[in-house]
Amino acid sequence: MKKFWPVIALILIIFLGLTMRFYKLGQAPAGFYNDEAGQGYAAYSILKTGKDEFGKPFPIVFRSFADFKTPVYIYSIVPLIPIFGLTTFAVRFPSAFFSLLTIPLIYFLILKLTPDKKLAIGLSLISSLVLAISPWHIVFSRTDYECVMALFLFLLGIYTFYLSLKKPYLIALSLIIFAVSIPAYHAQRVLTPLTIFILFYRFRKTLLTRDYIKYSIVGGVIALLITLPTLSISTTPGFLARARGLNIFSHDRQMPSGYLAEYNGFASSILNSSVFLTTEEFLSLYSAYFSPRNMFNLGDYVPRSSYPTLATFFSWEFPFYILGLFILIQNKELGELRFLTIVLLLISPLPAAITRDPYTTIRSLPLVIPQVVVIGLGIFTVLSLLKSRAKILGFGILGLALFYSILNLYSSGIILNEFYRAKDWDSGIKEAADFINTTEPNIPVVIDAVNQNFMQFAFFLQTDPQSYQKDNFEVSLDDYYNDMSRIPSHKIGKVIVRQLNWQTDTKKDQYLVADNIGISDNQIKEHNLTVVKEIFYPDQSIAYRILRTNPASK
Amino acid sequence: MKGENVFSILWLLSIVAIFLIWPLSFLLHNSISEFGFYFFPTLLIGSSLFLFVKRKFYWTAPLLVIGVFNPALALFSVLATLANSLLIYKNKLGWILVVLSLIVFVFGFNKFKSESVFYFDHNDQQVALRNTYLYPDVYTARIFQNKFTIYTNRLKFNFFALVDPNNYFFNFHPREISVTNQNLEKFPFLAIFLFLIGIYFYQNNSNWKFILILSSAAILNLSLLKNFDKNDFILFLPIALAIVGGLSTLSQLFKRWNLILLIIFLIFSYVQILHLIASS
Repeated sequence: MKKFWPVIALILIIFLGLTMRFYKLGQAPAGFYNDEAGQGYAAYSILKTGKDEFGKPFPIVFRSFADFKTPVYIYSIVPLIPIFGLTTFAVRFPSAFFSLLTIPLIYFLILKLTPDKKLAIGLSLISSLVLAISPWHIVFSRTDYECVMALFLFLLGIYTFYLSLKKPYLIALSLIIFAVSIPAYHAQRVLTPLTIFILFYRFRKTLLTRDYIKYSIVGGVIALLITLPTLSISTTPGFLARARGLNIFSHDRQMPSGYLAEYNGFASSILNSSVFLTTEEFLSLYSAYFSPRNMFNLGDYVPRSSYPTLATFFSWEFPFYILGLFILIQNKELGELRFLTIVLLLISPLPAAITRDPYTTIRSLPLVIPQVVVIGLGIFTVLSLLKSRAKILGFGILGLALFYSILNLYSSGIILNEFYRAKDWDSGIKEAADFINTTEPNIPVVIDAVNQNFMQFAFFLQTDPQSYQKDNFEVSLDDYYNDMSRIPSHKIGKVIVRQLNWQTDTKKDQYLVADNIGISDNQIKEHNLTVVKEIFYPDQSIAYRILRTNPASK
Repeated sequence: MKGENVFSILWLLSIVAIFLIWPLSFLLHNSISEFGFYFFPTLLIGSSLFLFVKRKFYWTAPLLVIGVFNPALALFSVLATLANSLLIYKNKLGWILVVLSLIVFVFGFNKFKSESVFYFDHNDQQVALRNTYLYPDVYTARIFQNKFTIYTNRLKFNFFALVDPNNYFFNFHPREISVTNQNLEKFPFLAIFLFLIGIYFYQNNSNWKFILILSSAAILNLSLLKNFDKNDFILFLPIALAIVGGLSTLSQLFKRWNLILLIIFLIFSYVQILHLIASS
């Protein structure tokens, strides 16, 4: 029994993680954001036609809203649609699944890297537990975010790399997994090559031996073949779309923070020096990812990247984080775990810190791993310093803290999130689509285009992809990765999603769908519209109105 | 000799840069009388430092005046004198200072309370009340929606803002506090590296106990205030000393690169000072 307690503990932790991630998956958050719908519908289109919604066969990156989404997650949804249907559950499942797999992966990784066996077991269990209840990891696990799957692949690549130090053939597998992680999310385009370089440099003496070279070559060639399609479009406007607008080194759209426009000439060259301002900006953004204020109090500022009242970590974890950091830097006996944790701490914020967004947790998700290890180290240290009764008390207090944290996750993630963030998650579109399905087939429906909502309607109306491709030509396939133009309206069966035209739309017998900004109470009166259905957010404000025109009165 | 003179001048300029920015920033954004009011406690802390260096057990005595001068900071004096008596100079006379500081705190308690996080806000209460209806049962609701949570949320907001390095080296950037905080520049931004070195190699700093006690006491007191802005000026000297400690350690760790690192630090710091003056 004593021999098996770590396994039992790990199973319990995985079960806890399963509950946190799969409870009401697909239902909470109740809304369905346009990016999720975009990925889900693209997967549906691939399943039905072998092409995305623009008619591109098996794209390398998916055009979507001309934001060029990474492909791995979308392709992972394809086999799930025949099983779960075209549903929010199917779209969010890969995120939850790979998030769950990350929990035992971090356990085995810490176990592998820590020299002291007693420390290894304790630390790996505690770190897995901290990850299992991590608000940061959970918020992205319950929705369609590619970063979670990318993190799993990235970590798996690292784990197999360390395994390969005893079994050379695994180096090929490690390289292949790393290659798959690169197109899995934008941040991995920076992080994975950097990590590969650091690991290979550290172990170069081992890796340059005969045993390894042959497997490295095989793995490298396969990895290159996997990466080649991505490399082939790496200089296109589509591939660079995200990087160009957001990075702090580009001053095309925005001057650096602190820029003083009122100064010219020599004074401006000193005061507005690009080196000075950009260095300060970068360091402030980088430092923000280690700021206790962001980590334990504020969390991410984007409503869809956080839960109300919860930060990325629980505030009770703060003292353990500080203690863990101190021990991590001081205690050289932590061996390879120390090296990897410090490296990941230093490099994980880089892809996020070079963008202007303050503390964006989606781009810096790999940072959750070393920070969880640090907190785990702090907790383990405190518990191991306690003796007999104090130790029991310590475990008791930790248990209470965990229980409170789980309740807090339920309170914030399920209850408060549904009320306060319904609008941010575009709640109400499914209900509007369900109603549209009950309307007369010969009466057209015009939906006010706002925030790319055409994709959510295409998803919930389960529009045939072949008709969608035919009715919504945007760019020729040759210009798929280069032409950034967008079409202003989208045809989804009998539904058209575009800006409402008050001159012509009220003169035809049709349904109009919009929120209360798209169609105000005054406009309803002015144009003699009939309110057929109103869909509300949980706070009773109007999400969507469905109205019938009265052309006879015009 | 010439090289040593140059190095000494650069070193001195670095110290000036470290000690100049926060007072200058404060002065540029506030009136002289306000500057005087918030700077006075720092002078008293400076006197404490002088006595601490002279190894006087009563080095916390000047801090009692802070409590009299500004009751919002009376708790700071209590905590500092208590920590001194428990951890450094464990003698009976030190406890007299603790008692005196408590008396000062008690006399100024009403003023302290009026400036603390323990105030009634109708809006906060209404939000908590509305939220209780969202839960399936009142018991679960009450765990998370209650008066205690309102106060602890305010306390946590202050505490984590006060321990945020971006507060001191990047004026809270990129997440400035709107309305209730001036988001002043406090130290040269490159000094964050010196600060971290100073913290890690704390034992190289002969004043580390002074820094630890005063900064901990200050953070705890300031966390309890409704608005810690401007009052947080009492952290100026402890943090500056930590940075100077880091500068000293850096010069020992990187002897070869000392000059280059100092020059880089100076260039960025004085451009920052010019930028501060130009933007005010």
